[in-house]
Amino acid sequence: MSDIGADQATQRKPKMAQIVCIDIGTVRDGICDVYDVVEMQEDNVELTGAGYENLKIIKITNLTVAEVMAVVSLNGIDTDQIINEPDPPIDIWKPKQSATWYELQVQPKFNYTFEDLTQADINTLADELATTPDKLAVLNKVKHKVPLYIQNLANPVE
Amino acid sequence: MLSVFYSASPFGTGDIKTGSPNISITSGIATLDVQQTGNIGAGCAIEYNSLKAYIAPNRIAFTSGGTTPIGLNTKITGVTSGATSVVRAIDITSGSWAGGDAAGYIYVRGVNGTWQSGETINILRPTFSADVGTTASILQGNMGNGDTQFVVKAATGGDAPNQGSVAVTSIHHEFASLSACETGYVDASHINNADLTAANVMAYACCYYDHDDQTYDVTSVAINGVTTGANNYLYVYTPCGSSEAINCQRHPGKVSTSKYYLANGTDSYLLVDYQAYTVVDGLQIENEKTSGTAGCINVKNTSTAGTKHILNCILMSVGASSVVNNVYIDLINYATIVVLLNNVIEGNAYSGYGLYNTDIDANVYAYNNTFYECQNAVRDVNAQMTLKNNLFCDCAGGTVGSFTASCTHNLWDNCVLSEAAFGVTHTSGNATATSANKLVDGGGGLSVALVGSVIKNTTDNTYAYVTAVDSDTQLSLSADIFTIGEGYAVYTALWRTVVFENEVGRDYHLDNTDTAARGVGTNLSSDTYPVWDDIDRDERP
Repeated sequence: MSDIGADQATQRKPKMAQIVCIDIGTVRDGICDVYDVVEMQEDNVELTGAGYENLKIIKITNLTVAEVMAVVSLNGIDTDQIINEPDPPIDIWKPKQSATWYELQVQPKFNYTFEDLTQADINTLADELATTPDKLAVLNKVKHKVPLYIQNLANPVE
Repeated sequence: MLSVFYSASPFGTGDIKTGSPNISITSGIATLDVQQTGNIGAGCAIEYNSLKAYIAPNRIAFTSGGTTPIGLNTKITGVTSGATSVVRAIDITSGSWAGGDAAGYIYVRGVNGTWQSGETINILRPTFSADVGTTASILQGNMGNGDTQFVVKAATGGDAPNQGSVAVTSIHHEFASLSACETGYVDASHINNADLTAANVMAYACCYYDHDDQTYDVTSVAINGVTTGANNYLYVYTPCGSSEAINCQRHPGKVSTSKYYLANGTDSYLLVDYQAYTVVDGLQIENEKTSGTAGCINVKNTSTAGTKHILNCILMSVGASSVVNNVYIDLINYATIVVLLNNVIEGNAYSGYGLYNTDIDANVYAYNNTFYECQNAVRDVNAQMTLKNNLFCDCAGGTVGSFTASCTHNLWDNCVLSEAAFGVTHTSGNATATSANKLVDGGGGLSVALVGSVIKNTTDNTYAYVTAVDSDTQLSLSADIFTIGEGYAVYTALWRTVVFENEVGRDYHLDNTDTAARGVGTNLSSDTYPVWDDIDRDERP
């Protein structure tokens, strides 16, 4: 039967982002932690088999990877270098929401972590019926790892 | 020591087997009753009977290995058959090279001819060595010549167990990105040891393109947290020979969007390497950032003394970014050798360096690379970089710092002439006469120069290049820089205009009409870091 209105809903393809994170079996002490984001894939990329047995996959229905990153990156960072002749340049970073630059002392293996999400949050992301605003609110809890290292906040740059 | 292979493709881990084959395995050789045509090869998993095995390149068993090791990326030949192959990997299953009794398997990129069992093996390239071993089998596996027989290994590198005929469940890539591969390759489902030396393996991360829609691998990679060793590398590469993949995964010596491609516009570096022993071979890497720091490979070492190789890659950072250091070497905490061979390094002509070494603990050897539009070509603050046979084109900022005295035969096209005058000289002396736009040395010896040879007046630090070799006692120069008595040095460095096949199309192969760079390099077959082939795997003289 035809849908009412201009849109024929059955012609819209489902979309889902798959967020692949470190799990217990892939932790490397001092290097990476559970819920660190290893990769992000669209739902047309199969992620099964032994390669993913020791990774956890968080599914975000009704959002593409680009849409997820558009929110997540708001809590991300900018990077640059300060020319420091004759010495090597100094790597610097700042939160996207801030104007203060800091020296980058520790570069984490992975950029983002979902560690602050609760199981209820993860369920919301996977829930087909959860609203997009609810999902975006959950994604706002995703953190960039650079600011989590105290060393990276030690030296603000003038 | 055993080799393990795991594949990564942006296509993902979906089943790509052809037809509905049955599989049987005997002595590590899987026979399928349906020819495979999918985009598979080394590193792919074959699942059957609730079991799985990993495809390895075709191989030849060998015994009687002498004290000359058969090294990776060497060209070998069978003395009886005349067959030749280039070595991709070596398994030592008994004995040792030092003991003169090594035995195991030689995994090959490709084959010309037909190997025989029981024939003597010689090494042909980079340099000849006779009787380095004896074959103990014919070629095992028919990848590239039938695609029904595959060498198969268990996850930890031994041969897959024998198996009677059963249905294949799936054939698939193991990971969907190089990042996931680097994360998972040492977990409990794979090598099961984050110490490759303790596990006694060489690990190969095999990068495949997405055969479905050519999606790039867009996830940056940090290589760290695994112990590596001089015989236990992480080797990241694109299978390119017919004996290791049904389709070539590697670029054709120029940018190709239909081959494996690692790119994004969000991260400062696409690949950051902290480990001691790694190889990156045959990748296309592009940083698409348009602001901030942007580069392709950041080389570090926070592990132990080590050696890293960057080979046959196309490294691009072409966005309008504030700082582009395409290959950036820093945070070297231990003595580290960094070797760059046969790479194309393309910058954005705005800022930064094609190759920048900041660290006194790194010794860098860059041979036969093409640097194109890097705002500054190379920089080393500690004179620990050796440059040989490199081609620098449109690097307007030239070089910064100082380099080893062994630098030789580099060619500069539209760079900074004064900054090309370093390294090995053909000859030196004092001008014996004053003549406009000439260098005159009545004592002779100037015929060693070539048109384009870089000349320095060592008395007043002015520069020119040779426009004609008039005689053994006189050179014509591009500038009038000599008066009688002034010192000169004639460098092996060349100042010339190169003709590429399609410069606008980013194809930096030397055109058939080029006379600037063809045949003027030095032979590096016997170098400590030998170069005997090029980015296309064609042999060099």
